[in-house]
Amino acid sequence: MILPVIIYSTIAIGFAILQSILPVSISLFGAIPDIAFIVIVHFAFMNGVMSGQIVGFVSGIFFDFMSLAPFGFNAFVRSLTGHIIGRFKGVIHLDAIFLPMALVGLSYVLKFVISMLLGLVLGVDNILSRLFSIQTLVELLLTIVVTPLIFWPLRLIRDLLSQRRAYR
Amino acid sequence: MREFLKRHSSVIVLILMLITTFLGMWFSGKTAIPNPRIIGMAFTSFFQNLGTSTGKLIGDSVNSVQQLSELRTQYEALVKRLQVYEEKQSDIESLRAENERLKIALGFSSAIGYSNLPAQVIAKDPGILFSTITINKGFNDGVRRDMPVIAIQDGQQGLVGKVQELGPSSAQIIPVFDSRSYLAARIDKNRFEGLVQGGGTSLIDLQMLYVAQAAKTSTGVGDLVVTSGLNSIFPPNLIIGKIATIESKAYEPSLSLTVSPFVEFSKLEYVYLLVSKDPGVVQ
Repeated sequence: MILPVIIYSTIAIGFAILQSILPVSISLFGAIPDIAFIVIVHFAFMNGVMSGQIVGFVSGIFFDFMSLAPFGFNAFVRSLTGHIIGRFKGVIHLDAIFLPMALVGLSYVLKFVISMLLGLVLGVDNILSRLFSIQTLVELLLTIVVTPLIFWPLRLIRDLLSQRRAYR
Repeated sequence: MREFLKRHSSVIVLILMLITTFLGMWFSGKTAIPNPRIIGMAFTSFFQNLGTSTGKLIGDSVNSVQQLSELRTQYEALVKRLQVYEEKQSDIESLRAENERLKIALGFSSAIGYSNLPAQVIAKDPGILFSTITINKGFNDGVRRDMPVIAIQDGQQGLVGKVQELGPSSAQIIPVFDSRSYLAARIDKNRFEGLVQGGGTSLIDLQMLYVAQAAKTSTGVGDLVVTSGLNSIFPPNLIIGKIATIESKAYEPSLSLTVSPFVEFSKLEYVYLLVSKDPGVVQ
């Protein structure tokens, strides 16, 4: 379990850094897809609770390093999301396009609810106006749209790791 | 006991991680305890710097190939223009000397009282809930918390925000459009004061609150809004933006204004941190 967790955490961290350095000019209404989140959802759904929450926690901590969010905010939201998504491991068989999009869309809504509740508990200024904004909607739509493109290589990596395990 | 731990290991790990995040949120404001954010910022800024530099290098290389053919024709045109500029140079030198004399006479330099530290923007917030601008200068370069940050666009200085968090070689700026940002401001034309608050994203105009109703007749759309200097962080007369809308309700004691930020944040590449010449000016 350790190697996949390290690989997926590294991928999620890499995408988190990429999200932070992408020029604003390629964003739509200031939003870009949350690819690091797609990695967490994929890994949690395929590997279960423990793996999902660890990848969520590690990538969330890196989000916190790069953000002026209260330190631990993203780690909390993403590890809890990873945990809950991991509970649904293997419940349905994912096809190539539509079910991954639905899964990521629902997971995003879950992240939204957890962020809202945590933001209200911590008293983060204007958390509701930030969440209920056009940017959130655009980020959700973009994240759903790019999901099949991210799930495809992640599935290849998973197959490679499974083959490696089978040989051993 | 062992069976219980084994069965509930995932929940136990989750609880431990959530406790860690709460401790992080709790301790991040305490200066006596080593801030994990600083360690993380040192690590991530290296990769952010690397990514930004690599992206710039690739972009520059692609552009340079395209530009090579244009350069030859531009070179010949520039040689001719250079001759013209050489003639103008002597005029500029005399104007510059005159300008310096006038500046001294008007006491500009003493009124500003700030030197500046240039920095490059290397990253922004990876999410959309919070607004962060990361620059490539940190406390090793002399950056301090709450330093005002400006940018020069269209030949004018505009306020970007202030330094919020510091790492050894990077710093995080909270921009004026963040909803946690509050600025003591005044309308430049009639000098009425107010409080400017961010709208949450760079797409939403700033709100200027608590402007006296008496300002209504002398305030118009397009008027400049500048810092008042009444708080200890921002020096006076830095441009925040221009008035976009004016709303006046008879039953309210103050006007509600929206202000378009002067700085175009999507074009932000370089910023300048204002360093006080006099330590007494910026706290």
